[in-house]
Amino acid sequence: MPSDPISITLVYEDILQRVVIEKIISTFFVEKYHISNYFPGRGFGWIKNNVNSFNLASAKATYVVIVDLDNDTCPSEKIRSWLDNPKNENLIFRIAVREIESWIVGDTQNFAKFLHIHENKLKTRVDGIADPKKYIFNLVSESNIKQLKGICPNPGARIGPNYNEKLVKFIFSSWEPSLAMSNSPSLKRSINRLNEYFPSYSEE
Amino acid sequence: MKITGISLKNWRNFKEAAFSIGDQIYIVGPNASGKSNLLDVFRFLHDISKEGGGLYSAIESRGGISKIRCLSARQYPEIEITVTLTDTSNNAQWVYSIGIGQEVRGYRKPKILHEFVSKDGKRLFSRPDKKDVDDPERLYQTFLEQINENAKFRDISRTFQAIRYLHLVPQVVRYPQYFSERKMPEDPYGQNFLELLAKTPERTRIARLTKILNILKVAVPNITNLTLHPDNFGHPHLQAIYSHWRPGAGKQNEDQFSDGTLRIIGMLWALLETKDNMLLLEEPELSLHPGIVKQLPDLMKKINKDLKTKIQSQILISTHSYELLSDKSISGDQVLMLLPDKEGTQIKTASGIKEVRDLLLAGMSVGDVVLPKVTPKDLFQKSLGEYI
Repeated sequence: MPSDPISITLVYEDILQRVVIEKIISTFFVEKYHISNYFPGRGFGWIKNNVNSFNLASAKATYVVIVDLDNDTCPSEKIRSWLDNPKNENLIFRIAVREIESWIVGDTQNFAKFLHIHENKLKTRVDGIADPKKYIFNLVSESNIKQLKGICPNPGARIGPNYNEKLVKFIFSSWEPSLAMSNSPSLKRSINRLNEYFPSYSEE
Repeated sequence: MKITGISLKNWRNFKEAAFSIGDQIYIVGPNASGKSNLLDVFRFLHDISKEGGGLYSAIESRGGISKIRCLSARQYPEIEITVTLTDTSNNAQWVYSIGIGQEVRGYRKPKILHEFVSKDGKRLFSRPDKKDVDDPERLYQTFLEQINENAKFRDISRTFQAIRYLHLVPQVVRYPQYFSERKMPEDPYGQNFLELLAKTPERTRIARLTKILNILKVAVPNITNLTLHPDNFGHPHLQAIYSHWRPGAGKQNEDQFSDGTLRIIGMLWALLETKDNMLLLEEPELSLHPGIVKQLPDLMKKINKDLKTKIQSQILISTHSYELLSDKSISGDQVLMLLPDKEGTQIKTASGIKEVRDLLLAGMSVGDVVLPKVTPKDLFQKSLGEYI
């Protein structure tokens, strides 16, 4: 392993994806990676519009792009349909099936503790959850913890007023990717990819 | 004459900075990184050179040397400003440089530590000269501000004099009577905006207002007319007509205009007025719909080209706007990134940063690439609401 960590630029759609990647790096890859730049995407449309630029630029630097699969069927199909050229080796393009929330609830043990509900109420095959946000709202409604109610949306909204805040705190303080990856193959693949990767930059 | 570059030492946020200046420069950076203070160096040169100005009042109006000297300054307490200029008629290269310090005792008045002008590499003068040594009080005044002394480089003085700053505040335009009796010199906030319009020769005024109206018609639904009218006391007022189901009912004066409408009018007026000089615009995106903001770079370019001379006047724009910077015709060379650190704020040209340059070359806009770079790291991570 080189003595200097690999400098990466993280491109993401929303804050939860960012925090999840940071937690994965701080858990497994503290010495291997350093996030030196952030690109908070303006939604997946923005990333889709710019991913070809990141692909080009990754000839000289490492880019980690994280997006949700959402309603698409196949991750590799999604990557191919977005890229005009073959994917550069240094573009680490990861797709959460279906959404980043699936990875979060994949740590059933700690998520159950967080909500103060019994672990057997949580699904283990999280990549199969069709609407992970709705799944979280349903779990929260079973919880007796009043402070967590702000996770659930008001009528007409997509997420609750405290949704990001509460989940970001959970990820930082309690979420264990090593537990979550056993329930989410898409998370496991992503961690493996980060583990195997070494940069190969083209000469200036 | 065009200002082509500037270098600074110990000016406000900037311990040391240098950059070149093209026709349109966008200044980006976090809050309090020094965007306005950077624009202020050009206002300062203007204040020294303008009629009734001078070094002393330029410094006093800013609260004295201690307010304009960089907090990080230690070893070199001298404030230094060096400007390079090009004479567009004959391509002559000019340099104006000034170093300012303070008397060590007494009233601690600001004084010139050095001042020189060079043309095509040859010094026209260099101070302190022998007369300054004989009479040190001469060092309270620049040659730039003295008609007797600046004959050989008066164009530099004129170029600085012509620099204009605008940060129109709609409330001030609407209710000038509630703001201080003593008017701000040169009216940067629009307190006398209506008087300025009234003083403009009628033909010019009508031509400009017509152009402004044509643009407003696209941006502001239902507006159909824009004119200047005196009221019963002779005070000028802008009047617009908004098409309305009741004919004749849609007349409105400037005190009923929206913030956005007033800002568009003020900005367009300033742009139309700018001819072969430098305009400093502070956050032109304020109060405007993103759809309009997106088109500002193109609009500014077109308005500012003198159709006869083909000379583009220079505009320096401070901004936080993604929409403004998403115009893909803006190059990395046109964007100055202000990056605060412990030793003051660093100024970097966007194209001077490798990863920014790579992404711009790969087809992204400066808005996409540069704005995340100047966002404070904590802002990505922390929700401000947590601190309530």
